[in-house]
Order: sequence, then C-alpha cells, then structure tokens
Amino acid sequence: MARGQIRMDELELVRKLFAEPVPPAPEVVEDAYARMMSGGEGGWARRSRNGAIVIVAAASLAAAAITAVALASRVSRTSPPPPGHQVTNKPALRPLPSAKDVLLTAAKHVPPAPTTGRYWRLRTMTFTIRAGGTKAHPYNLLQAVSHDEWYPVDPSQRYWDIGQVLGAQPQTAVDVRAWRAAGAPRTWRVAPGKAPASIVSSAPSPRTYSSTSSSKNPAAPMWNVATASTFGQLQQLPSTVASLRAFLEQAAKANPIPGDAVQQLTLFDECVFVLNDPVSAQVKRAAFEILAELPGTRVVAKVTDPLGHSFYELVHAERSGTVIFVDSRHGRVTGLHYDEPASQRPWPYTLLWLSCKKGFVSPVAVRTGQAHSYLRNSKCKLAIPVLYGRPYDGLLDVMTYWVSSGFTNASPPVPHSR
Amino acid sequence: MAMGGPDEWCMLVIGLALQDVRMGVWMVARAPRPAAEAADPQARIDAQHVEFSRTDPDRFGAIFDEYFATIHGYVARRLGADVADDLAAETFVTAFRKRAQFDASRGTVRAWLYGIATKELSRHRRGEIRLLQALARSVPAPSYEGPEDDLVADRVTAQAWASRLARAIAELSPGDRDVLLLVALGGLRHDEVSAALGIPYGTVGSRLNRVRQKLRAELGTGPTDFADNGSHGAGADQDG
Repeated sequence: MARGQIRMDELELVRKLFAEPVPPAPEVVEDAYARMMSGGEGGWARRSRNGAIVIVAAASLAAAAITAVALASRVSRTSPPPPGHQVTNKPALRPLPSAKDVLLTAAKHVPPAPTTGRYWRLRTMTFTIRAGGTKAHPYNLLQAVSHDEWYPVDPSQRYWDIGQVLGAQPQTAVDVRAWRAAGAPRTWRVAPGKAPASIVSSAPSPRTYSSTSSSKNPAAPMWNVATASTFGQLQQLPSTVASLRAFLEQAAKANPIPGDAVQQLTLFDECVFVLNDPVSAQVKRAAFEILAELPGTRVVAKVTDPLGHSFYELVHAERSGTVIFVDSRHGRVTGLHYDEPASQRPWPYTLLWLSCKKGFVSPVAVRTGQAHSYLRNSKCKLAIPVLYGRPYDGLLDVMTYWVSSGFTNASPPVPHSR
Repeated sequence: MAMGGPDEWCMLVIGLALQDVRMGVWMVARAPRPAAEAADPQARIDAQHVEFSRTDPDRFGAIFDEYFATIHGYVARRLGADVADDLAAETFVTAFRKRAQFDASRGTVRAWLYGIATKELSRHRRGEIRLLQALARSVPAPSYEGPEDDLVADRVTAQAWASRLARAIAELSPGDRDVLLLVALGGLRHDEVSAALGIPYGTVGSRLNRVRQKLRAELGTGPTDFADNGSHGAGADQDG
C-alpha cells in the first residue's frame, strides 16, 4: 500500500507542477471550430491548409453505416440530464443568442445548392424515447428509424423510401447503468398484445423498400407547402421577403383542415416547411428572414442531437410544444420535436399522418378524444392513425431530424431498381 | 372517411407501411448484439460520431464540443495558453481532415485526439524544454536552507520538489515525457496511451515505470520505494 501511495503522490506532484488549465476563451473556441470546419461547409471543393483538394460532398448518410447508432446523447426534457451525463448539453460557453440573431445568421449561411437533378433526396431520422426498465431500475429507451426518400422529378419515375429501424438502446450513460442493473435485456415489450409493434429490439432490422408511382398518385411526391405540389411550382416560389411572406400567409390560410385551431397552420409552420422543400437558396434565405421578424420566437437551448449536430432549439409562441432545430452555421432547419411535458403523460394525443388533397403532408397531433370529429371535418383523402391511445403509453418523446435534403442525379440504391 | 379507388387503397397500404417504419413502431425482434457494445458507451458514441462525420462533416462538431477544451487544457499545461490556442485548433483541423482514417478497433477517439495533439506538440519540444527550465529556475534551488518555521519549510520543500521535478521532466526523453504526461495530465489509460502514441501496450507500462524511477530518484526518494513491477498502485499501471 505504501508503494501505491508513493506512486499516486508522484503522479499527483506532476499534476501539481503544471498549472491548472484555464478554459479556452469563447472566441478561441469559435475560431478553432471555424478553422476546423472551413473545409466542411456546403458542397464545394475547398483547398485545405496543406494544399490538398478536399471534396466535401453533400452529406450522404449511408443506411449501411448506421446499423448501430449510438443513441445515447439527446437529453430529453422529460428526463432531466442526470449527473455524470457527459455527452451533450454542455454548459454554453456563451449566453444564448436571440432567435432573431440565430435566424438571421442562418439566412446568411444558407449554402448554394443544385436546383435541379433527377431526384430530390430527403433523409430523416426519427427518434422516440420511451420509459423502459423495471420498477427498481427504470431507464429511458431510445429508438431510431432512418428514412432515405427519393422523390423523382420526372413523374414517370417511381418514388422510393428506404427505411430502417435502427434498434433501441438505453438513452444516456445513466440509463445504461440502470439497464445493466435490470439484466441488460435486448428486447423490450412496449405494449401489450402480440403485434410486432409491441416488441422493440436492440438489433437493427433489415432495410425496407417502399415505392409508389408518382404519376399514378397525385399525392406523391408530396410537399409540405400547401399550395405547391410540383417541383415546378416550388421552383417558382417568390424569393423576396415581402412576396414570399404574402404567399406563405395565403398558403397558411388555405389550410386543408379548416376549423381546427390546433391544426390551423401559421406563417411560422409554412416557413419551416419551405426550409426543407426543394426550393432555391434565395427562397430559404427569405424564409429565415421572415422567421427572424416573427414576434414570439425564442431560443430555448443550444444542444447536440444524437448524431452530433449542434443546433439551437427555437419555439414559437403559437406553436408551444413544437420545437424546431436551427443549425445557424449551415443555414438549415434540421428537425422538429414535439415536446410534451412530463405532466401530460400518458400521451394524450393520437398522432396522425395525413395525406391531403393538395399534396400537403404532415404529422399532426390530435387529442385522442377529438380524433373522429377531426377526421370527419378534414378534407383529407387519407388519414392514418399511427399512435392511437393507450397502447403506446410510456412514449415520452418523438423527434424528427432532417439529416439532409437536396437534388441529386444519382439513383436510389434499391434492389432491382426499375 | 370515404376511400377512393384501388390507387388510394394501394397508397393506404404503402402509407401504413411507411408510417409504421417511420414512427419506429414495427419492431421485429432480432438477435441481440454482442454485450461488449455497452462496455464503454462514451467511446462508442464518440466513434460513431466520427463514423458519421465521414459522410456528414457536421457530425464532427460533437467531437469538437466534447474534447476541444480538454485538448486545449492539456496543451496549455505543457506549452502555455498562447500556444495552446493555436495548437489545439490545429489538432482538430488535422483530426477533422483525417477523420476517415480513424479506426475504432485501434483505440478511442479521445486517445486518437491526444495522439494527434502529441504529434503537434513534438514540433514544440524546444519550447516545452524552455518552459520546464524556466519552471525549474523560478523556484528556489533544492539545496536552499534556512527557513525557521515548519510552514515555510514545507513550502520551500514543495518548491524544491517542483524545481527538481521540472528539471527531471525536462531531461526525460520525448517519448518518456509523452507517456508520463498523457497519464498524469491527460488521465489516459494505458491502452489509450498505447493507441495515442502507436506503441505496444506493454511498452507504456515499462516506460512509465522507468520514468517514475527517474523522477523518484530526482526527488530524493530511495529506489526501493518503487522496485515493484508496477502492476498496481494508482490504478494506472498494468504492465503487459
């Protein structure tokens, strides 16, 4: 023991010899980050410091590479970060900026991007957080599903969606400990009954390929902006702030779900939609500027998502419960989060996925008791209840991330592609 | 709700399938993954951030957020804050540029970053030696005597130790110094030092043991104090 003590003292002396480090100044951090990413912005080829050409392609998150995602990092507000949680939500080096600053910065950083191609490719990740574990060892379970959607510009081509369930894992390091204490199960029963949906697994499932003919079905491709449903219409959206604002206000009024205040779309919603539709960089810049001038928007946090994306979380007064993620450095809205306070558990909503007449598609939340009257009153052609009532008790959180979107001339990596 | 023709039914079926997958609902029980996956959640998460960043550079931001201050602190202790600002930034520029080369099977992201920082540090060896020599000179010489009360004596003794220690560290070979400081300041495990420096695991332990003997000798403690093989103590030594 005496030897051990001496050894410890010795290393301790070395530690004492060197002064405790002072944290780097915020501007040093910012500069270093900018320096690091200087080769990583947008889709351009840039010359790196040693002279090599670094081609930075638009992000291509190959489904094959994400069969074992570590999904432990997002801190859900429904479960405050436990002590020792090291992954994200570090103390901000700087106070949070205003929503206006974030949005105007984003407007400045919208990257130029191709406006044509054979397909519009949209990649998303959906994360769900559920309560899991045993009474003695409760923990949160995080699941992820990836989607790689290919919308053909040529209506004679098919729309493809390549989906994959990436498996479930304990959410944070603390959850991992509780999960181990609970016997480290690899499958979880999340609902009663024998339906496949009642069991989730830690293992990723095989990819699924879904397709539809876009020419036969006017609802595909399906864009979010209510009054534009073709690539051509989207390309022609006005790109000045005033005219785009007028257009989107009109679009919001043309709500396919009249008389439902919860679902009445706002200018805020429309702007968010536009930002992930196949529109020009100018239109996106204008949309950010409209958002920046919108009263009632505020920044609630700066966080890093389970994939490592840093962004600001913004909420709007008229959309409490919906959080948008803004990556101001790269001029993108990267996701949506329907934030339900823990006090409202069990989940009081039925999530519906709607495919409506005008090519409007959006996941919406409707209070379970109102679902039927809601469906009766809506003009939707199709309404598909996805989460309905109690079976999904324990669902704490749902987040959707737009991993990337953009035009491409590539073809969807599907088996026996037609 | 009225349903239309076959197209709509087809769409409904596709839509159902899509949505079930989209919302993570259809979960098919599969064979479990190896238990080792959960062994070091942080290391696994780091590795996956780097993996993702190969195709989506933004993902590297998480690595930056997690480790920039750490690497900066390590460099600042060895070379001073001014150099650290530049060198830590350069470490991450290099790491970002070489992210495709990161191999999780060869070590943690943390070790990899420390390895890059160590390479960057090696260009500043003279500066480091000068800093250590300055440190050695800035305190009274070891032979200093004269304090009359114990408190002062303790302080002077500590200062004398610091001086000797700084000199001893300055006199270490660069490789030995790297091992010592990665363990003492960086808090790296032996396997991480091995990965960071690209040296065999056993070499880490033997180098560290050798360094400790030198330091102890310099500090005036008898060599018998650490004549063991370093297989225990401080939880750091695990010679292979």
